[in-house]
Amino acid sequence: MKGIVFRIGGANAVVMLTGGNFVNTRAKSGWQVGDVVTVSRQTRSRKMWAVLAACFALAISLGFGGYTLYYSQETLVSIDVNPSIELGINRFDRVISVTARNPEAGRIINAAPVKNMKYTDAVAALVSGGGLDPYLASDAFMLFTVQTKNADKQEALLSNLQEAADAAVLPHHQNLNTEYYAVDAQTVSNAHRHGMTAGKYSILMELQQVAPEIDISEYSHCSIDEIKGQIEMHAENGKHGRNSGGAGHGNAHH
Amino acid sequence: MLNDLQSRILDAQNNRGEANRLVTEYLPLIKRQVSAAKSDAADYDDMLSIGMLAFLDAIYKYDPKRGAFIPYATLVIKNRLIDEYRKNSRAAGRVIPLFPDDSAEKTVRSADETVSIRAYQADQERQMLAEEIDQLNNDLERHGISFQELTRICPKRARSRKQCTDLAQAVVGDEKLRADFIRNSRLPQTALAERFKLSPKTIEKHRKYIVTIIVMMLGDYPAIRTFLPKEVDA
Repeated sequence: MKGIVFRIGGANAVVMLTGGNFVNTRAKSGWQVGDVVTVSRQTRSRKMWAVLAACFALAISLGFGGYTLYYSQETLVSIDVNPSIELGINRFDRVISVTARNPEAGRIINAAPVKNMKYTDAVAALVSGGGLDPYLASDAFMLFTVQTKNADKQEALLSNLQEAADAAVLPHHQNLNTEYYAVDAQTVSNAHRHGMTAGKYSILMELQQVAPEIDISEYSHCSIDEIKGQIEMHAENGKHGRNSGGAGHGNAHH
Repeated sequence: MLNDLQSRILDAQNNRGEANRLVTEYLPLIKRQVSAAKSDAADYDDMLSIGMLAFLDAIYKYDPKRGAFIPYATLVIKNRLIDEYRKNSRAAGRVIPLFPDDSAEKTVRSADETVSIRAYQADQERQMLAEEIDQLNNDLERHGISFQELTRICPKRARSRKQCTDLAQAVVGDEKLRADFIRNSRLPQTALAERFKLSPKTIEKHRKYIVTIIVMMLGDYPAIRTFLPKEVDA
């Protein structure tokens, strides 16, 4: 662009470009005040480009890092009645995944989208949303299990879950039995190998202890209430020295 | 016997205000010369500024003995534009045709003449601009504005500069505002904000730049003004 040299100070010159734009530019040899000169359009220096590139890379890595951080699961909460639901929770206590472990659970999570909600709100929404009502008959069992990578948070998680779930469900189902357990990662892994939640897997392990001959996969479709019933029955039978395997298996219900 | 235009030219040689009025009046002639030359849109404004400067140069150097002013000024503008294009072409490492028909140039000067005349003209032009710049520096100092400071406070966007130029034009064009500015050296920010429906903060932000443009418009700076946005015709 053309411009008039207004001032020369040291190695720099003040030039008024066409259109009234004043710029500070490096003075070329021979320039004098009043000269009409050509000033190349200002381009960003290599250093500036390097800074911009670094900023861009930082923004990308922060964005990617933030994304990775947000979608990293820290805690797994499972809710079992007969429907079995699993909630993946990140370090910010937000629900990042919702998994239905049986068809009944599928209908419930479709009716109550809880992704990105705080886990206490998500649990409250699921248990009070009406989807679980048909399964919450008098004396039914609802089982909550928590598995977390952050051991320091475990106690608080269980306590918050209990508070949220009890507040949401007990006013409508006074006789409902709720239980809260913490499990380890190995239990979760074993449960998933059997296609069930850690809560249901734990309770079936309990059943297997009192009836070692049973195949737990045959009870995977049963409600917690029914499995509890089987445990009681087999334990009772064991006390009387009778073989309980066939009866337990036969009495399992949906 | 001098005609009316020749009398005005001679008057303008000692009166920059009149010189500026002539530039404004004959802007269509200058634009025609710039358009006739091969130019792309990118450097049109640059070439128009050069053409206006050449026209001013023609005013200051005109001698009625040379004949009519308009053909003389046209030739000065043409030659100046040719020089500029040559300079630009050398810088870009390419050779481009100049005017569609540059026979006029060939017949006017020999090569030696061209070199010496070009050097002389460049020096004259520089002196003319240097005088105006010196005067402008003094005028701006009275408003507490320095050239160095202008590089920092000058709006970076062309649209903002145009807006500032419009605001300056409004002050210069309004008798009361102009008189107030000359008397108090004060920018009527509230009045401008209301008239242009702008935030007073916007005007305050560009106050010094607007003042600079007003000073350029009110003073005798015909050569410097050739580099202001071309809609300005105070």
